[in-house]
Amino acid sequence: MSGPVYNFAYLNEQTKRMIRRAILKAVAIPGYQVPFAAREMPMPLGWGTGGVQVTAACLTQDDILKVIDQGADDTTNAVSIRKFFVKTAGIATTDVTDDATIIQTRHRIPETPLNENQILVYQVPIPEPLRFLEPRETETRKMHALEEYGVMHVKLYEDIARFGEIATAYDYPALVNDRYVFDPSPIPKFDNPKLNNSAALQLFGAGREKRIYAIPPHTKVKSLDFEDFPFSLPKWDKPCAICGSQTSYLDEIVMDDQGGRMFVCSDTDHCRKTQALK
Amino acid sequence: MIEVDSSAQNQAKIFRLILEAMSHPGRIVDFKVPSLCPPYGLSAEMATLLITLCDFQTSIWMKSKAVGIEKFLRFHAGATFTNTKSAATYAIVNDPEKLSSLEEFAQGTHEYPDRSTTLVIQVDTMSNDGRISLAGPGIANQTRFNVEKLGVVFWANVAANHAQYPLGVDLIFVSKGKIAAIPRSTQVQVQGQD
Repeated sequence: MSGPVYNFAYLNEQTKRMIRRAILKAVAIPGYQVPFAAREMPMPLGWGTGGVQVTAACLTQDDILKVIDQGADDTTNAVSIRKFFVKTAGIATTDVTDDATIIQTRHRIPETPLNENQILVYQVPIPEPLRFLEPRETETRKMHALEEYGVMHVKLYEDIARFGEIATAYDYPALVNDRYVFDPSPIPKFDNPKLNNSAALQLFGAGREKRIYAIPPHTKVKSLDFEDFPFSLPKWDKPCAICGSQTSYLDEIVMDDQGGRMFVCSDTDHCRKTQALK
Repeated sequence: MIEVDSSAQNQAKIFRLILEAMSHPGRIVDFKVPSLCPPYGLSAEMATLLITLCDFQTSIWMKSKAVGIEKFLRFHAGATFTNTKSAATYAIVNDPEKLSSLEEFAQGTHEYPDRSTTLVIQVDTMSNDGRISLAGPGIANQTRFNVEKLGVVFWANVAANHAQYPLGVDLIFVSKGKIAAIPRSTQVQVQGQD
């Protein structure tokens, strides 16, 4: 019995070359969205087809892959993408952040600081930070060309005028290498400081929108803010209910019908590690 | 079942080395390439890099076109060639000291800065010392980079290339068993005089 035969990491070699060329351009122009000819993948758009294509173009046989969805290794999206690469590339996988060489992520940056031998691949739904402010691609392209980012500050100002603070809690826009305003994908703004001066290469893939962008290691990434309303991080009253971590990003979990709530680490590997230390 | 295709494996590994060089400007990365017999004027490193990145969608420029090189890359990569610098996606540069400027290559446009030429430059030796200092994305503080035979004129051109960031060309250097890159995002400074 023989199953279907795949090329290594599913994509054909010509597609990988096209994606690799786009990745190299993206690294050379940090924060700029490089158009690429995204292929149809055997999973629906919105399930991380952009991240999957970037990962497929980067994978070698020696890589150890970790896939997370909202910080967890055991959620549907993470499990199916991990299985996809085991099936089509035969590579090793891990849940442990430190052991991974490529980490594909949906909407979180691991709590464990990354090292320079790691690549973090983000799944991006809407790569254009200005899209909800200006729907026309021709216009947003011009705005990036002219560094015309005033409208983004107006949006943040309107937050302050309405709510008394910058209410944007995820997808928080940042300026890369003092040039391009970029969309860090829907990571919580809690993770934005980890984008800055990271030791690892960060690659972003948007499959439906057909864009790839990158932040090389040791690159300045500054979250947009105002002098009198500086960028601030969310805080929790209690530590993680399982591991007791006071520094990690917590998810709120509904426990019962009586309004019981529990706050636990969103990063399952970090939570496990902290428990083991206790 | 997975079809084990050694060329797919090799190309993935080669790409990761190029990616490492590009994400750490100035870092001299070991570039082990498969044994190839490229024609005269094309090193094994240059040939491997072009075969990994080029295909029918890319066009290559070189100063004095050698029929052997053109045939070789057409056969192995399906790449096309152009006589116009500004139409080239990749440029083969075997004598960088004779390169008068980088401006004639495609610089990209303000709306599409990615539509630019990547120069692949053959050199003899590279080292991380000397008077050229590099800073910018991919470099922790700053690093030094030196290429034998390349003088002030070349580095002034590279500095001018960076000055128009985000437009400009990206440079990849290859020598025997080594690869390094200086993308347009890197600030290049010449310390002292020639």
